[in-house]
Amino acid sequence: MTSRSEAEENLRVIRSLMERATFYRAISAPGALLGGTLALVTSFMDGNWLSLVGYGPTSDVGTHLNLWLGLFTTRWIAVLLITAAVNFIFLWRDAKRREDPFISPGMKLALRAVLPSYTVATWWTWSYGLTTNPEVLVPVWVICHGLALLATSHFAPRSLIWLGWAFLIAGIILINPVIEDGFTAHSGFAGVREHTLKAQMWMACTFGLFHLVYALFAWPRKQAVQDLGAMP
Amino acid sequence: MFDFEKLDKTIHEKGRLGIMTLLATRQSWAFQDLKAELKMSDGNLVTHLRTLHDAGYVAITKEVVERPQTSYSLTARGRKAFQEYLDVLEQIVRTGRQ
Repeated sequence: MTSRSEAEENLRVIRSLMERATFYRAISAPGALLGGTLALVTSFMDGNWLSLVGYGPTSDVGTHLNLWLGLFTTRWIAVLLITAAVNFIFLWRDAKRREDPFISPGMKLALRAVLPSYTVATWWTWSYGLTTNPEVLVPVWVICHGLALLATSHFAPRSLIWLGWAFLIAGIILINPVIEDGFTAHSGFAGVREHTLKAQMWMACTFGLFHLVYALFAWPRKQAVQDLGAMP
Repeated sequence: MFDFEKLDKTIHEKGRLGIMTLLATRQSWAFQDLKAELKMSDGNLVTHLRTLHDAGYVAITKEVVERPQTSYSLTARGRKAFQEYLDVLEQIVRTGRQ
């Protein structure tokens, strides 16, 4: 007969195994593909940032809007919200296919893990979102996103951990010139345009390119699958 | 008095309980990963998996990508049985506290 202590021991074993073995992919490959593509497209909305590295002319598209404080921030918040919503839809669809609950223990773990870093990013955006120097925002966003992903590393797939490290290292590299510049606000069309284009380039290379590469590695591969009805 | 017949005897064995727990955490597990996590011998693991498969709790899939690989997953019946087993364990604990 199973005693209460045996039942408690079994529950303890179950809890321990589940914690060790929980595996959760917080960013779906299709979500990353959409987010990366959206980021690349959005990065060109203030002009052709490729001109900073010698490719093509500097477009005047949107430059008259550069001085609208907060437009850079607003656009990227919109991209974040759209990408997050689509990512959740893909995660919900996967959970439904597996007949798992959408709000799974894995998702709860992931949300608890990423909350601190995204809280910092939210505070930074709230404090400096109306800047005329968007370069101040981007490295902190990149670092916080990297730290958030790395906070899920003990239950995330390897590709997500690599993505986290890529963001963290990129953010550390990007923040140096901003610190040296002393977080200076810029004025005048030329100054604001140049720094906005630089910020857009950083966003394209990190949130755009990194997520697209991640999507490439994380995309489910078609396999020849044979379902067996009996043990061999 | 609690009716201990409610405990699913297929799951209520240390090795099989571990297997069911791991299968409940992911969509599927490869044989080698189960073996590494549970530290079981091949024979022991195969025997338990066969028992669970015969009970209809575990599905087996052979994937042929670069090399053949067998993976295991919980069936809907297995997931339900595991949840019911957990509910029974919790009832035992609550009954013992009264």
